[in-house]
Amino acid sequence: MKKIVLCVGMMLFTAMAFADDEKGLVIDTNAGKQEIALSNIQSIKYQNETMVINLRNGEKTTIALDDVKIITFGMVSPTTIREIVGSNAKNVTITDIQGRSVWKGKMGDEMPSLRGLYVVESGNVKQKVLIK
Amino acid sequence: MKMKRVLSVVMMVVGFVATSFAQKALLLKMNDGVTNAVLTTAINEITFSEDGATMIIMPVEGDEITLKTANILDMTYGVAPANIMVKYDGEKATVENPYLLNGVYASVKGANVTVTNDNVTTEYITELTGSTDNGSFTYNGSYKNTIVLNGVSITNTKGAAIDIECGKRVAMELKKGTVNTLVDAEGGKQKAALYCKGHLEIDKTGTLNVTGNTGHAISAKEYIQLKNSKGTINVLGAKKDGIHCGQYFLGNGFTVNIDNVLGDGIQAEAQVLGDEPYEEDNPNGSMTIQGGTYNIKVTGDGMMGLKADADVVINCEKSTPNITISATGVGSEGIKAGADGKITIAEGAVVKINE
Repeated sequence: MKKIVLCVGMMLFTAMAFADDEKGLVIDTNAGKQEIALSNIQSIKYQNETMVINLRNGEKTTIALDDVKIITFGMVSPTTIREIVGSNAKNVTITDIQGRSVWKGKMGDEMPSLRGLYVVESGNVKQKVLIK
Repeated sequence: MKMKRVLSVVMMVVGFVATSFAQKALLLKMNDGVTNAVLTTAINEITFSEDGATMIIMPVEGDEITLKTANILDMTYGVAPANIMVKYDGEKATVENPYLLNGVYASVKGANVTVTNDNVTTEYITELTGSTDNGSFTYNGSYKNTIVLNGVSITNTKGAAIDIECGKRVAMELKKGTVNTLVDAEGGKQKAALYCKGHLEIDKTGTLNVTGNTGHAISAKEYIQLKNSKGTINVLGAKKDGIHCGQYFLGNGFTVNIDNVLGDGIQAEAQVLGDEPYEEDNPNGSMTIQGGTYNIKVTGDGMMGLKADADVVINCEKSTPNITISATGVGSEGIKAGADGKITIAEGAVVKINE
């Protein structure tokens, strides 16, 4: 019985440990490595020999194609609320997974200490996020 | 000498400039050995599914392409090849596919390569190189295409070495100066080591060695035409015919050597033509040789050097044919036309039978 409990416990622990990271692009460039969670990518477009990564928070990252060494899919650090809504977002709402409001405010305001799965909204952005 | 140096420098400069200005392509290296090269200028945008499981390429024109991210090994930027390039290397093979957005899909399992072409507007070229003792090439499609044998050697232990499941015109080019070898499996279900569902036109000046360990060495459901070139086809052995085709056989050139076959040397079998136009010059089941050198040995009883269901015509339209046939089995003949057909040999053509 003890063994079963231990085994289930280890499986749960492993699942939780892996849940902390999410799938993303690992872009190795001449300037160094850059990681972007797929959940944070709105789209990738190409303009004038550059790769323009449009993020869901409205910001964009531009990389010259000649600077890209290799791009792989890997597990990257989870997206932060700041990455989701942008640094200057106002009217940010965080609700728990049951839909109960947890926090409202603008980026820079003090936030409560959160842990678990939440839904973050600001303007057109609405995304689930796992907060460690 | 000076002129040669100047030319070399000019060519190098042209090459450098061409490479520098070549359009960048997104090179999607898949886990199975296929690299899909997509011009960045042809991409409108790339997005990902919410769970990150799929990557969606929305082209500037045409339908979106969805790829599983788990199947993508990595992505780089580089130059797309002009053709579909297949390279065999022992137990493995790689494919470079520049036509993903045009409906061409490739997959590799070990050294077994499958190219499926859903495009029906543009003829694409597939080039095969390298060597494998346990591989194959399968082509699926419904539009004419060209396959270049560029020094490739394929031995398949399970089926045909090359299986072209395309009912249209397939141009097979034997690249100049190359030797290409195709060997199929013993006891398989394939019709031939080199099989084509459509009509097969073989051209250029390389060499093709073929061994059919189950059925024919070379077979096409529709006609086979050998172009007026100085290439060489060696049938090194076959359990059935050396070359077997439906509709008709048209030989305009080539040196064809056929030996160790248990069936006929070359056989043209009448086929139900379906929606294919009736060809007045090449009646169904006929054989016409109007150039080239043929050395054919058949030893089986009742087997023919050249056999057709209709007429057999040997003329000098392209060059002087030089045909040598040894047919030694009981009831064998050098040349056999159909029951209602006749054999016509034009003056000047050299035909030697059992001499």
